[in-house]
Amino acid sequence: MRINLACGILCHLKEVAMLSTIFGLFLMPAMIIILALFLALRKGGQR
Amino acid sequence: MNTFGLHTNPWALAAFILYVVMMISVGIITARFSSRGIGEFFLGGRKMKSFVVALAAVTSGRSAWLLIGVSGMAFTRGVSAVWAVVGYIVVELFMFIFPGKRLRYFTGKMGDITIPDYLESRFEDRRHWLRLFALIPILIFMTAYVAAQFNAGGKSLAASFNVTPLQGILITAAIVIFYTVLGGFMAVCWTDTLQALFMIFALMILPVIAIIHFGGLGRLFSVLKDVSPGYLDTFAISFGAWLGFVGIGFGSPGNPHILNKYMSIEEPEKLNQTGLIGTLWNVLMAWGAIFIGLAGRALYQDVANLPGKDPENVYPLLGSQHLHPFLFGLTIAAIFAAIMSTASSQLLVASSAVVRDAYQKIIAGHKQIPEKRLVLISRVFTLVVALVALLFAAYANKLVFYLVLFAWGGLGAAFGPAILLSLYWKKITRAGVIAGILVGSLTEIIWYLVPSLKALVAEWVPAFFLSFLAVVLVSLNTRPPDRVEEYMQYMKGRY
Repeated sequence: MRINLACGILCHLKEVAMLSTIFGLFLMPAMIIILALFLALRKGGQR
Repeated sequence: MNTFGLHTNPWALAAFILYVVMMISVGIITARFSSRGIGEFFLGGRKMKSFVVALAAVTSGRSAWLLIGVSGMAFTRGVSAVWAVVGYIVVELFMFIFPGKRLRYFTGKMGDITIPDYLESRFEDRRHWLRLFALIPILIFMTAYVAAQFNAGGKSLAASFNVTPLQGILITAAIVIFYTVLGGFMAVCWTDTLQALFMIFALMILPVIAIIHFGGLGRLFSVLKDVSPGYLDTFAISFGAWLGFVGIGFGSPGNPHILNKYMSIEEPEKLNQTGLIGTLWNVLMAWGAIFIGLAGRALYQDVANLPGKDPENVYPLLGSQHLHPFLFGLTIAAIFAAIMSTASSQLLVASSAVVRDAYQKIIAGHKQIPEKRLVLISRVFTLVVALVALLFAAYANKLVFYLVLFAWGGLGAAFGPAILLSLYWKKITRAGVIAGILVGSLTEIIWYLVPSLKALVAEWVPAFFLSFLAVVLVSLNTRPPDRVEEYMQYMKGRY
């Protein structure tokens, strides 16, 4: 159900916006947060 | 000038007064702690908690530029405005986790309170040349920065209440001076944290409500598609402009009011999670501002429909039309939160340059000055620096955006390369750092003043790289400090 909803939103966005819009507004912040999670939670990263 | 008439609405006025009372209360509560000594006054006694450091570091670096500048930029140029926020967010993430931690370990071991303190310890500079070369640009750029913030505060107050811009400047300055002079670094960090909550609230709630009112994201994009061909394209930006935008991040490693937040954390091991919290906050605030600009463009279509035909007014206008008056009051308070969090942090650094670096370490020399007296002197000079900035603010008439970026880039170029290299490179020398400070500051100013150079790329990019080059070239031809191996161990927390 969740996957369908996500697909629905993405498909709808693709109809109304370009891929580069989706990249700038959604993927880029998501990538930065993933990078932050990776750097903060990585093993041996306490020092 | 009084565009939004906040004073006529009791709900909005109550929200704003609530904010001001909170700031003043923090100043009063923290006054006793900050009176213990100069380390407490200027660095919170290195007792700051992870969450407070995360929020204080990101809000003090942002200023009103984020709320009104970035949202205005997104209104004008569209999705490509995201490049203005990406650079500093990524750089600051790395700063928290890598250089920030090394800086905290080293300064904790050596008892350093300020960035000139750090440079003097790291390069065994007993003649204080480094301290002198560092404190001059810090004083100049910080005072200009504080003045720009006061000016922005005056402008925003005049747009929201029935006051003139000059009265607005005086009110902004009075609040900042009150809590900074009383509570020092502890007050600055705690008010920054509260201000971060105001900012995130405003930057999250406003775009969501505006987009819902507009009919959803789909409708928003359909309308924005017709604004101009590249409006929704992230990559509709020239290389020079892109470099200038991303290069805003070059300011972060050299701005002492951000660096001293890393130095103040109680447990340096927690800088990893601090970085995560700070980055989450940075991302949510930045993209909130971008969506405010986009929603505003869809709603108001043309800049001519904004008060004063100024794109920077899109944020308060959206708030006034789409939020309950109490929430609108909070969004206006968030502008002041952004302004005051930066101004107070900068003010404290400027004052520490005078009291700690010039007076205690150079003028007084080896003479022992009682801590209580030092705190008193610190408070007096914080007031004096604020009054000087106030005078500048009354006569400054340039756009907030450029004033802030000029100081931001100047400090970034003067100190950024030297600080980063000093934390990782054993061969860096005192002469190299001085060369970096001089080349960085001068390039920033000269590049800014020559229109043909400025048209190529924003001044902070070449200033940073030339400063970096100057540090490396001069260091390779001079001798590094004797105890450099030992210092590198300190930076890893091995005492």
